[in-house]
Amino acid sequence: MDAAWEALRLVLSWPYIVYPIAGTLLAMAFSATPGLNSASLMALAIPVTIAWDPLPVMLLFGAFVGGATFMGSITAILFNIPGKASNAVVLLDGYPMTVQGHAREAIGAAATSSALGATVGVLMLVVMLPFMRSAALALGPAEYLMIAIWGLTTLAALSGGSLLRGLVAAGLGFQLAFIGYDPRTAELRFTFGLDYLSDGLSLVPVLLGLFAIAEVLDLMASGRETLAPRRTPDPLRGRVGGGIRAVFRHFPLFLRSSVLGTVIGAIPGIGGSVAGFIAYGQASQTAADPSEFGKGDVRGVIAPEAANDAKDGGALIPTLALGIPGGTGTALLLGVLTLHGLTPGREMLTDHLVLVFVLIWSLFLSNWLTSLLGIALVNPMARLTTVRAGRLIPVILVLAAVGAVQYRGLLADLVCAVVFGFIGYRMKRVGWPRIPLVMALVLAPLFENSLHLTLRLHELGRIDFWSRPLVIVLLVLTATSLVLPVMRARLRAWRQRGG
Amino acid sequence: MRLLRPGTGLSIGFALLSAWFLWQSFGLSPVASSVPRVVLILTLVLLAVEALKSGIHVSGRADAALPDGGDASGPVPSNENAGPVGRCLAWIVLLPVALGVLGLLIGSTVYCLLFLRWRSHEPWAFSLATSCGLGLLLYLLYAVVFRAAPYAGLLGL
Repeated sequence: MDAAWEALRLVLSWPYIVYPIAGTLLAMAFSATPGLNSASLMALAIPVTIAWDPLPVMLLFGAFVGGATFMGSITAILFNIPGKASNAVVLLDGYPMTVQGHAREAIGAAATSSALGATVGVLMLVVMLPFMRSAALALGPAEYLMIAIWGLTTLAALSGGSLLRGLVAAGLGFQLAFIGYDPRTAELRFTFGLDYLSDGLSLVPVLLGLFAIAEVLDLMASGRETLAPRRTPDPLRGRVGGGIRAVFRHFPLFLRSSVLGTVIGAIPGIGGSVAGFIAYGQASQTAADPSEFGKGDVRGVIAPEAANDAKDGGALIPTLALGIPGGTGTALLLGVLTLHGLTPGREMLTDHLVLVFVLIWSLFLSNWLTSLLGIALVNPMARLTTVRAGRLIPVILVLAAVGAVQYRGLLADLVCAVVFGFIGYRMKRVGWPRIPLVMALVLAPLFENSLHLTLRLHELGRIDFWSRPLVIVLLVLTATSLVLPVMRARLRAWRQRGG
Repeated sequence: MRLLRPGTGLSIGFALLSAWFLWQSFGLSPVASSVPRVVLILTLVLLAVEALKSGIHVSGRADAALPDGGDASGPVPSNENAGPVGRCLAWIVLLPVALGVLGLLIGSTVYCLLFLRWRSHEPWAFSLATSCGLGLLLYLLYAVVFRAAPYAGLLGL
């Protein structure tokens, strides 16, 4: 406790307070710039900060981790363009809210959910740190496989009322994920003989194509004048306060999603994108009235946003306690810790506990700062949805193209984005859901690798699938998320019949 | 009047891709092909079920935007700005061509100018100001602030 207060005193003291603020602003700028992200910012900052003391480095990198998540949700809500895969699920209900003129409310809900979700993540990080070593040893490929399967059960919720088409889109996502080298045999699979595809399809051009370019193509072909409706005198009639209040109105949902996000974020190798998808699926499957999900329900914004931001705190648990990074950002953070002579694990949690708390406070501060700035910027950004489409389209197109090209310096990524743009446009026009495709693309590698490893270990007699408690827990959760919506629907039908 | 249900082309495209992948999977080792093969067969079966359920042949219905991100509740289209999909797609395909030849900075600026002037019919002054502003912003962001070398294109600009 003393270490936590000492760390807070340091974070709030001059000149150290400048580092998390500057780090947050930089992370926001990088995550809002096409082709750049917080990982590239961290990579650029490593050589600059190598001679610094560990304290300002912790402050800066904590802010880099926390400051980047929320910006991608703003573009997802306003323009149907997710900043990264983890923001894709927010557009399911966020963008319909914008189209209905409730962009401010959606961003208010997302910002509040994001800040409070991060707070829950950080609190859970502090509570769980001492127990993490034994918990991490309980995780193996069987648990990873069950998490992937659990994630896939949310397909029904992500399919927008057409489960069959959602399943086909997920099948297509799986197929696309199989492209490239097989990780076990190093055989090339389904590359059409193209060198570009040997490393597999990159998620960035696929996302930019399926959403940004498809949206622009739809806007051009439909002849819509603006993104937001012009039928009413005030197309931006929603209020930020309405969004903030909505989070407190659905507080149990918010809390459940935050805990879920932290737990999933704490599992190394799962990836943050999964947290938002599972949280959305859970929100829809456990809702008393799920009929408005996908049509602009604020609960569909609150749940994934809370999980997305809570996962940042969760991702730090294995990084600090075990030295196992959860993703690219935490891998770079681990490199920074090592460069400054800090070894994650027991030493880090005893001898350098103040520095650990400095990192945690910085993450906490940056999440709140991002949300506050997001709310402050909501009006000018929401006004963009009323700008004439003819003026907005070339700017969106150029930014999407820059994002695709600058990501790896390959023009082929832009060509790939254009191809997926056309596919996304056709899918949108004929009512095929696109989110299941993205979710399958994210989950497929985890599913395939874990399945092979589990089967192999089972063959060798190294694991007994049914004797692992976490597998049973995940199996129960999977079965619940499949059965609960059906039971609720039947109960509703029975009540409507007057039973 | 159209004979094919909207989306039939997309379904056929997905089915052809799945069938081609399935054919390719027979040339792979069992470890590399087992999971893909199961997924591909399932996808093909689901596509067939979907086609049977929806009915391949319908008539008299044009493409309609369906809800996936809120189209159903979206603004009423004003057709005076609408364009044939092929022409819209051509404008989008022009973008990789411009960036591929002229590079990121010049290509983006030129593309934005062409689009604003000849697709959106904006006045020259507005088109020039916006495209040059965008080009300058990209230059400042990438070349000056972040020092990330912008894509140079075929002409090395």
